[in-house]
Amino acid sequence: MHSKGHTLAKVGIGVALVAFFAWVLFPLFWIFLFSIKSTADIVSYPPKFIFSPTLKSYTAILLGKTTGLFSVAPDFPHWFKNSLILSGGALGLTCLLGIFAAYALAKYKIPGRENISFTFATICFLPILAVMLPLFSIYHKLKLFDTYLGLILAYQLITLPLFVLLLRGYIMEVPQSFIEAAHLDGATEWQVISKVVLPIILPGLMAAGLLSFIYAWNNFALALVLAGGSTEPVPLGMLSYIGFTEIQRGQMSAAIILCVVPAIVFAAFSQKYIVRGFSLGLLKG
Amino acid sequence: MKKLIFLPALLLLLGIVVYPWLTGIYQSFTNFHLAHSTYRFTGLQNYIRFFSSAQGLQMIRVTFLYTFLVIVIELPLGIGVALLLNKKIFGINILRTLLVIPLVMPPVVSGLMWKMMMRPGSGVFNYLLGLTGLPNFPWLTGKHSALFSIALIDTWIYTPFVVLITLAGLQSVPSQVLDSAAVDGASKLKVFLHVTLPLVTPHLIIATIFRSIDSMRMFDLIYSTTRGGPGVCTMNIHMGSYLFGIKQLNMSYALASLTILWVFVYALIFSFFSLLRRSQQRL
Repeated sequence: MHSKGHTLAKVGIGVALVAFFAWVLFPLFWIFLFSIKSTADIVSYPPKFIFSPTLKSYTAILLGKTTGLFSVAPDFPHWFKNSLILSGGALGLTCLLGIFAAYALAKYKIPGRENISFTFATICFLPILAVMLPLFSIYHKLKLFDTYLGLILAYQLITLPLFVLLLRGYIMEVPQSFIEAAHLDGATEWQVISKVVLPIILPGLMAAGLLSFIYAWNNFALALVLAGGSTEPVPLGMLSYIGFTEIQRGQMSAAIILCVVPAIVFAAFSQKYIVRGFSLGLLKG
Repeated sequence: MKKLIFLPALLLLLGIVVYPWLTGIYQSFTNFHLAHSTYRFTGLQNYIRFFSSAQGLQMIRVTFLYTFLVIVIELPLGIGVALLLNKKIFGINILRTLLVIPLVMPPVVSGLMWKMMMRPGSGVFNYLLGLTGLPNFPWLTGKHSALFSIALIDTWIYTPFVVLITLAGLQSVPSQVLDSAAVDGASKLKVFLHVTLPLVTPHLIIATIFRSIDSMRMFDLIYSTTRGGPGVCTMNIHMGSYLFGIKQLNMSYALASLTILWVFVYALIFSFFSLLRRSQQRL
């Protein structure tokens, strides 16, 4: 059955796919090698493929270390804690406000409903510094600069419109008859939302929440302008491994690998929703 | 009254997004400078300075060149890989998860990762070039290669995005349609051009919209790799506005640059969305 050309085509496709995935995975593999090399092995050129692995870079960034006059503070846990507080706090506030907003924009007849929804979408497309630079002056006046509260409020720029748009799409798919039946049974508005709608759209709620969290977790420009030493999250803190003349490659690599671990978890859980999420709900995927 | 439950979210966004943004647009018409305590209305002065300076025109050039590079590399590559993956492949879910990893890592972290691999003297890419007998490439440190190198990192992060969107489009094409076209005796190429392609066009347009908008306002990758250098070779409008506003304290000029960027981005959004509407009407 299989002609020669057919087999050749299959081999070609296989080679192309392997090449593409090698290109995707190679950087992660290479940086992982860096993260378990000693300083001497990192700077040796041509690069060493056989070396005795060490966890020194990891212990340096997680526990701190002192060599001679220089000491490395265990900063990574501090940044990680900040990332957790900021992204978690941002997600919490977003859920609190966003669930109601998404429900109203999906199910109520509000004048200009589509325009309000469109406004939410356009906020996602603003160049972020167009909001952050004015906020920089405002936050200095209001003493919100470098505070968790200030940053969590500012993070809503990233998380809230995304969450509302995605959740609205899921709520619109809930049949109107379910909601009407609950109303006939005498359910209050809050009961309709919490007992009828939310259980139906639970997977959608998880998807919207997860994607908002990922966006907040990965954000950099916002923290660069509004965060200081006490609230800086991981993406901002990592820059301090760039010294005046040299990048601290071992520590930088260990920190990068510690960022890849949550990314793998995010990837595994968000894979199913990523098309819908990254297209702001425009595609159902 | 119950209808007003969307108001808290809207008010918060008005306060934290719309108010600062409009304030910024107003301040772009003043001489607001962080080192001076007062400022006054100066009309179009910042805008005239932007469009009449070599630096302003360079930033416009970098912004659009970067967007162009990203689109011409990522779209064909992404569509090609999606077509290859649109088969019954063993372990497709694991492959999809691998594809998502670059997309859910902080772009800054990806930038730092590639910066180390692109080291001019002893980076692994130059080592690999050396193995094939090619001379060292300056990557992020070369005048002509820096922007291209950043676009290459962008390709690593976001080609998977194009792949996943296109794949979603391909999988939404009903198999009966393809089968009946095949039964009618259409060649594979004809089926692709006349059946598959029109059906995935909206997906491709959406992939193009998101990739162009994100690359026009790219900031994280440029900041973590070159900060606009060498010289101003990779300084797009977004990167430039940070340097003007936060480093040089000239807030009003930074805000004028951002307003110009915003106009470019929105012009693009509106033209793309009208294209999208037309392509959906045709179906």
